[in-house]
Amino acid sequence: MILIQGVSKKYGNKFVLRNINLNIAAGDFVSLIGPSGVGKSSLMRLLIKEEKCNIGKVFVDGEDIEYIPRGRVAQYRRKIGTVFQDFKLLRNKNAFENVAFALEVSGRSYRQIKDIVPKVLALVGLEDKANHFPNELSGGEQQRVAIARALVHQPKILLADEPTGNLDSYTGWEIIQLLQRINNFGTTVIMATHDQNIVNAIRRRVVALENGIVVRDQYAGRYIS
Amino acid sequence: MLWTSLWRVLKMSLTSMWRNGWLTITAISVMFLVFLTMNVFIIFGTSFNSAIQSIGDKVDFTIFFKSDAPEDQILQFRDTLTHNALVKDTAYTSKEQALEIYDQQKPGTKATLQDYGNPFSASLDIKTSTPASLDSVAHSVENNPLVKKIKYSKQTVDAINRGTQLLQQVGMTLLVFLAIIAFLVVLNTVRLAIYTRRHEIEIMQLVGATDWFVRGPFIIEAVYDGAIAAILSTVVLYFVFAHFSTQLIDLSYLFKIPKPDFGLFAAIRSGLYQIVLGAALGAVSAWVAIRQHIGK
Ligand SMILES: Nc1ncnc2c1ncn2[C@@H]1O[C@H](COP(=O)(O)OP(=O)(O)OP(=O)(O)O)[C@@H](O)[C@H]1O
Ligand SMILES: [Mg+2]
Repeated sequence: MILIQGVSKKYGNKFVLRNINLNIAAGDFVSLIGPSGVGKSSLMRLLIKEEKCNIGKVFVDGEDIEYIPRGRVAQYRRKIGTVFQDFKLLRNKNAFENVAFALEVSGRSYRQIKDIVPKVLALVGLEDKANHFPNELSGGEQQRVAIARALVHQPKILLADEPTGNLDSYTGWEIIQLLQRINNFGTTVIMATHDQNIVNAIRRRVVALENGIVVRDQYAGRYIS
Repeated sequence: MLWTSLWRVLKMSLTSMWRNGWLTITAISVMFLVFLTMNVFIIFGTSFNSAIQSIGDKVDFTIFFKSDAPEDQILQFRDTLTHNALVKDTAYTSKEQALEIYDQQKPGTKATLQDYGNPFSASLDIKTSTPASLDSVAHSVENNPLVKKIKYSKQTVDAINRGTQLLQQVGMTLLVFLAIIAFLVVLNTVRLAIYTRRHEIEIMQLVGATDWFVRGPFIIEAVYDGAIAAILSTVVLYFVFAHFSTQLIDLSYLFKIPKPDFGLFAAIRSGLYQIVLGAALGAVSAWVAIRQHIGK
């Protein structure tokens, strides 16, 4: 599903990612771990074409994403759901509209949107906060809106950057179970996280980054720091 | 799909206008002031311009005909001139009328001249529609076999021509400058409004909105802003003119210019122009402004 070949990325003249090689199959659940600033978010930015890598190739669904023309980038991004570390919610839209937006851009009908969005909001436990704007939501609630938006169009790939970072361990665990359920339906999940307990509990593939390189890649791995 | 998107974009822009309250108010206010300034300038300019034009009405020239020119040919000649678009008015004085006029000024002339025949020439006073056409009309008749001579004060005419031309050029230059400034002000207002919302644009793109889906609401919003500013400026101006009607009459009397007019009909017509202009200006500004934030 995702093939990363010899990818390096630098900001200015400092390399953050160096010669990354990863092969992620459809249906994988990958936990990306590593100390702060190691390049986890950067890797995700490459995958959605928010940034370009300096060296190497990234294939998604068999397609070299470097050659996706500008006109098709939007369409490409719609098959990936992304939970951004900083949420990236539209502050002029309420929770419902933020989630609905992901469906609107792909041209879903109004009826479908009215049907799907409340269900997804309920899934993340926000059914009673649909009318709240981001500044009227707590950090954890905003995070859950971001998760709902990433899930709502049932993407083939889900990128979740610290999806539990602002949640208490109970809610966090609920979200992880949600991600696992989605994964069970066939969605490939890549999650960046610091949360040792979660990584250890789910016992799925773990990719550890250090100094910009992959230092460990284990199926059914554990969090070792 | 297309209609759904269009409808969504239209609705989104309305909601967004409302929610971005201050930004919308700022943008509309700036455009409103720009339109108001332009309007006042144009209205007073038009009335001043017609005042300049009317100076030309006071300029005319006189054609004197040869004394043996048959009167029916002269009248025919007058008729062709009357149909000339550059000619505004003609007044014919026959030989007999000329004699009468002279006789009234110096009684007894008529009696004295009775035996000699009438030495006066028939003449035709010509008013041209603009000072500038004076020359060309005069030239076109001067070689006619009926014509003895043409009398007009060349210097006055030239001076007036130069004066009106200069004034009109100054006016046009000012208008062009004002229009450029207006455009830049509107452009930068919209740009600033869009700049403050650049994160929104970035997010929309990251969640898979096409360029048009991102651009659409911003452009439509600027179109609404422009149109609202145009309507506001027209309505305000209409009521201001209606309210100060008597003062404006005094003013126009004082400066000997026609009363600056902004009646209902003028207001509606200028309002429609401005709505189109305002909408277009908004659209262009938003288009230009958003280009900097779209497409990575
Ligand atoms: N746009 C940028 N320009 C310059 N440097 C950047 C930019 N984005 C990220 N970096 C740097 O790249 C490095 C990796 O950043 P990244 O956000 O990928 O880290 P991370 O692994 O996600 O960290 P965290 O766990 O804290 O989220 C950091 O040192 C950061 O300062
Ligand atoms: Mg990060």
